[in-house]
Amino acid sequence: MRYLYFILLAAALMSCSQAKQHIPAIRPYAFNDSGYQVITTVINEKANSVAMLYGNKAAMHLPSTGAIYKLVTYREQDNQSWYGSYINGELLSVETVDMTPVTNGQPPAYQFRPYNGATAASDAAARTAFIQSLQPAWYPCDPQ
Amino acid sequence: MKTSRLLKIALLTTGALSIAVAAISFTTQVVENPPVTGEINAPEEVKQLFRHACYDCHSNHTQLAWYDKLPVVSGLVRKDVIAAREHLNFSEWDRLSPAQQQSALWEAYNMINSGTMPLPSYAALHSNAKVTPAELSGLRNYLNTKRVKVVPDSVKTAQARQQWEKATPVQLPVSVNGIRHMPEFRQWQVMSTTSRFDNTTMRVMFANPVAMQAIKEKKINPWPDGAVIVKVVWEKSIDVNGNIHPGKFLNIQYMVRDAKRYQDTDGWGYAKFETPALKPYGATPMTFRECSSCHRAANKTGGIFDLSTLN
Repeated sequence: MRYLYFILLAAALMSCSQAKQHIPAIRPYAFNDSGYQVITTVINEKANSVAMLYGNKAAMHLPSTGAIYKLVTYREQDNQSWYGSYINGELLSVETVDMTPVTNGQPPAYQFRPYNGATAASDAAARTAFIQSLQPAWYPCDPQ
Repeated sequence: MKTSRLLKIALLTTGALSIAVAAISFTTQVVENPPVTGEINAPEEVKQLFRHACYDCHSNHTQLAWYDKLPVVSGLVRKDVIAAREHLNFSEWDRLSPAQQQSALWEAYNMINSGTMPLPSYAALHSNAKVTPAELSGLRNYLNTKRVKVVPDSVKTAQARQQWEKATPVQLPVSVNGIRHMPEFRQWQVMSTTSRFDNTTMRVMFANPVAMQAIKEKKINPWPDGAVIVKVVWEKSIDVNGNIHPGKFLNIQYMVRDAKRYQDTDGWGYAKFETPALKPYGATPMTFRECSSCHRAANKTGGIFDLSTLN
């Protein structure tokens, strides 16, 4: 009888170990969107990066004052679950363009925050112009 | 004396049953093998992999072992083969469009790579079906010759521009399985973004608060009921500087977690709304079984493909 219990216990342990799946290490979320909405996405294959442009409420309802944009750039990496796809990997930088000074006749304020050893963009004016040039992606049910 | 007679009867009955079962096994036609219309054109090593690992179910060259023809088992085998051929039939490869062929190849790789295919239960009994790492590597090398590069396309650019002129539907569309389009996803957090090189699309995934909490707590196998993941899909559009942007909007896809309600599709309810008119995809709820069978390749992450991992 003791052997029977041993076999039953072994079978139960085996079934438990089979049912428990190994979950891959999910990358923690390094960027908090703080309620900003995604405006568009831009992929730079040469730099092996992908960036998402976020905007605050003012940025989503142009023309308006007080628009703030954040371009969040990630390194692209292989998608472990699907060969045939790249996915955003480690966070490289967050660039902020604040349009508030424009109302006083000054240029937009630009800020670069690097992550994971990324180097700062050399030309703030060029980066500001690039961020401003990005067109919104077409999202269903967004105000057209 | 009495025991000996009983033993004889038992032996005779067992013998007769064995002969009957063997006869059924050798003569039963479990599935027919219809004529081949056109097979895949690929390097021999790739074809060889498909032949020994996939063809018993995914072709018109089904060759069954005697034990596949046993009563009860044969019914299950027949069901599996018919379903497998409907999903992908290498003997009717010519009936697929070039885009469908491309998609089927990458799916085949990912299903094998994840250990989803050949079905583990099938591979356990059919040792010849197992795929070696060298064979898988050969298939991957072949796929690498089929990577898609996005090129400037004035027609698609014009179509992307036109979509801004069309109004989105006033009434929110509802899929045949009851899942509705949820514009509130624009307030949800971005889960990830992907750039496909097996086709020309790019995507952004959003997770509702339930799903995002599950990701943070790593409680995703299984995902909690109420989790919703939204995927927005565009054609890639490349500019003069080589930057790639979302171009023509293609569709928006939903995965809604309700383990009981959607138990036929592994606990996820699927929906897709196509074009800026958000036309619901799929005529019957059965349509979405295709989605769940493919998503089994992401079994380790509870059926969700697009989670960024620490590689």
